[in-house]
Amino acid sequence: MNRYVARKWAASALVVLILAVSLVYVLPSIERNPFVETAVWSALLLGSFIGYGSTLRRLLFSTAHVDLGLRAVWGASVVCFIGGLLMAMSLMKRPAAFLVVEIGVVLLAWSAIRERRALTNRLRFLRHATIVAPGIALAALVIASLFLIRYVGACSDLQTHPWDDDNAYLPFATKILQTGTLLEPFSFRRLSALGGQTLFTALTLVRADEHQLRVFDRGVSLALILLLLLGCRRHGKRLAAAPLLLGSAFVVTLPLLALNTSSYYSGVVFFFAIFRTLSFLQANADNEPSPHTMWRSAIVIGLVAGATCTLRQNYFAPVVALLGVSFISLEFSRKRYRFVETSLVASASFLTLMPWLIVSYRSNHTFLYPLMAGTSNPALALRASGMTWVEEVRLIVWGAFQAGPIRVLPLFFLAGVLLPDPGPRKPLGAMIVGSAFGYVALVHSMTQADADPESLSRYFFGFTCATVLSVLVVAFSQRRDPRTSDQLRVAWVAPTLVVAALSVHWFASVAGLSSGLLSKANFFNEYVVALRRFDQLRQTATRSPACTPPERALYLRLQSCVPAGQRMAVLLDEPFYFDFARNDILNLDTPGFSSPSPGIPYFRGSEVVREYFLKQGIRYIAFVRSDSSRYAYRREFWLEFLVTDSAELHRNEAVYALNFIDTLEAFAGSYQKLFDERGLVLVDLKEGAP
Amino acid sequence: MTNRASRFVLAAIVLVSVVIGLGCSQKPDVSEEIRLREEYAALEAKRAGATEAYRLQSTSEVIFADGFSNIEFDPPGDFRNHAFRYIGQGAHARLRSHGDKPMFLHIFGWLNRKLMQTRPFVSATIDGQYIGQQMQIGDDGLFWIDAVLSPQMLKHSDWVDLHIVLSSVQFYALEVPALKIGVLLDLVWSEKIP
Repeated sequence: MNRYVARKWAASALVVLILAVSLVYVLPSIERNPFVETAVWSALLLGSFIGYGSTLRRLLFSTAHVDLGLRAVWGASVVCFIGGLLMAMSLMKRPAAFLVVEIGVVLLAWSAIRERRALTNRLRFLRHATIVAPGIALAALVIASLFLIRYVGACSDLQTHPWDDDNAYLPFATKILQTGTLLEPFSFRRLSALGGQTLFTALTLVRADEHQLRVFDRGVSLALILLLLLGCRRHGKRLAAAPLLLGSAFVVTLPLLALNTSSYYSGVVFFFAIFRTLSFLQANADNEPSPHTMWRSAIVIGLVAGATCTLRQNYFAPVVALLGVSFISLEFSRKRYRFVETSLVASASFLTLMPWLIVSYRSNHTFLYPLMAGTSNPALALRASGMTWVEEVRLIVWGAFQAGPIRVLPLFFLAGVLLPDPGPRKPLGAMIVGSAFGYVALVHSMTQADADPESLSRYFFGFTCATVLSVLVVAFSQRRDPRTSDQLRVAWVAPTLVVAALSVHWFASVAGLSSGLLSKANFFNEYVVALRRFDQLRQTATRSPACTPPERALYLRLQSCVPAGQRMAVLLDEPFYFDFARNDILNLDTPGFSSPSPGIPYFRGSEVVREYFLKQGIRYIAFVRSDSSRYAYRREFWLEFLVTDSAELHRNEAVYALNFIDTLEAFAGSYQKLFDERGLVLVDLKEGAP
Repeated sequence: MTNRASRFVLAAIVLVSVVIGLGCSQKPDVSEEIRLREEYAALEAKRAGATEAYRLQSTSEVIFADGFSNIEFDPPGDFRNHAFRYIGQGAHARLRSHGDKPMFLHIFGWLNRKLMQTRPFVSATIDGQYIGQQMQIGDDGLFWIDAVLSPQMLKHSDWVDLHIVLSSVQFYALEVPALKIGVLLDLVWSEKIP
């Protein structure tokens, strides 16, 4: 082999070798260090996304340049679609999850071999850039190091949230891998999201401890955002180093908002990917549109938009508004092409969502909550009672300025409005309008959040942060055309506004000027905590039975008292320890919010509730006693909510929780207890107490 | 894809949306469940020894809005202690109308006259109409307003707006809870007229 051939193959051979070694390390069922195992597996998951995305690129846009970030999110959208299909057929079990990731990794290896020349050129470019601009290379290295610390921190973070994660999101992920789907008719958390985020965390769980599931949102998703940012191209050219560094620094210094394992950074990823996809199509596929080529554009937009909607229910509104604005402004040579593409994209999005809608209907008898009520309780509304429109406007304005980790959102939006948005698809304008509409729709539908705006910010962070990134990219990549009259506006005003907004944002972040949850979350703290956690997990022994918490055995002992195959309902702190394949286990995690028709008859005594459960085929109920619950099912906790919390939703929820806790205690007094240990009780509703 | 085919696809999507729309159930009557819930909540608060706090809590009948602080306790730290809400220069609450039934309103509070350094009076309005005013706040700072509201004042809407206004507040730039000039100790909104 001569030197030329060796150089030509070196980069792709290295990629293939790394993938092969990683697979050999992580696939066999042996004992490994939990940190290394999860870090390698999550990196493979990321690689698998790139593999699927590369294949999609080859099938749809074989001649166009598609960067790694865009490929990765297209691939993640393909995985989301496949996962939805498998869940609709109850096939998304652990072997299927392995297979989905492995196939993606193989596709990545194949793509690395096919695109060996491009890979080699990219490495050469990096080497050249490092030599030519060492200062920029150093800055990039600092940002890369900050990202790595965050990634490491995410892999070693064992602090899950007892309110949402331990009792719901973690068992959901476990249940998908053990039963192949997610049917939870009694869970409001299940009802209020289609489940895309749960699927991604389940894919992570294949080689992670339940408590490490933050790695998808805080690790993999953060990597995806950076890849999307670094791959940005405007007018067919790479972005200059300064805006890329500025954007990357903004991303890696965001205070961590992620309270639990639901969608935060993944929302940013998919919304930013919609912007990137529209920009990509504008630059590559819209030159000569025709109905025979539009289906390619429709597939990628539909896949990404559909996957975005599966992450959180409130992402529907901004996605629809965003695409709506983009299609209204489409300027194709023939007017009917706009109609054709809109139809195709709507079809593709609908087909992507279809499996998820089916699973939602199987689980909660609704295709789309809250438009279709399904198993939800209409007595527990999300809108505040009697709120006037003036108060709602005040909440909208106040939330935009005060809530969330980006304290200067309106400034970024103002800069975005000032920027020109040439091209037929208007990606920036669509992002701004979509985000604004999504925000207003969110506040309008959740006015009960008036007492807790920080909570509200968790729902709009995904699309607003993606809009900020889009503004940042466009602001620093405008062509300076002396013929245009808006030279000043384009060249100076908007970028200056962005720089000013970034400065204020960073100052507020460093000084800890945020309120509520975020007051303790500045980026210095995050890095210190991430490194401490890493140090703790680094010293941990291999993942083995000896490291398994004793609670797992406790929960399995309880489950062994229920005959295999029998249905069981549970109100427990950590139901993810159960074997969901052995019994049909239904989670009662949010008393009051959701139950199959005619609904749990609250406040009417325990006997009618017992009859209700028996009619639902539920004979066994397991619960944690109030004085033994670690967090969510303590009476005192709910009593405090009842008399002190100013959010109407929580006050009402507290009454249902108290009533249900009392009902379960009444069951334990009247019916046979099959298990009673460390506060965990299992009751047989058909057998009276001896 | 031809124009006809794309129209067919769009029509199919519209059809499916209509089917989903038809599946959207009408909101059933939940008033009985809400009534039982409120009764249970009051009972729980009583059993827990937190009646004082519960009387100042928003319910399906009364919603404390802007101008009131969250419920605070004296001494702080336990919701079974004496409960109160700070009130500002103006405090706003929403009261549920009971249609053609007259309602009784009782407001009881205390003003820190030493801090205010003025001799204020307290007014209450429902939808802008005066329903009561206490002209002289005594040296003890206590104030109360009792009023029976006729159905004519209430039946035009599901909710009416109650505003409690303190006169002569000189710290106009402050809002509760930073503004600690007065507190609400009790508010009763009931069909039972004493």
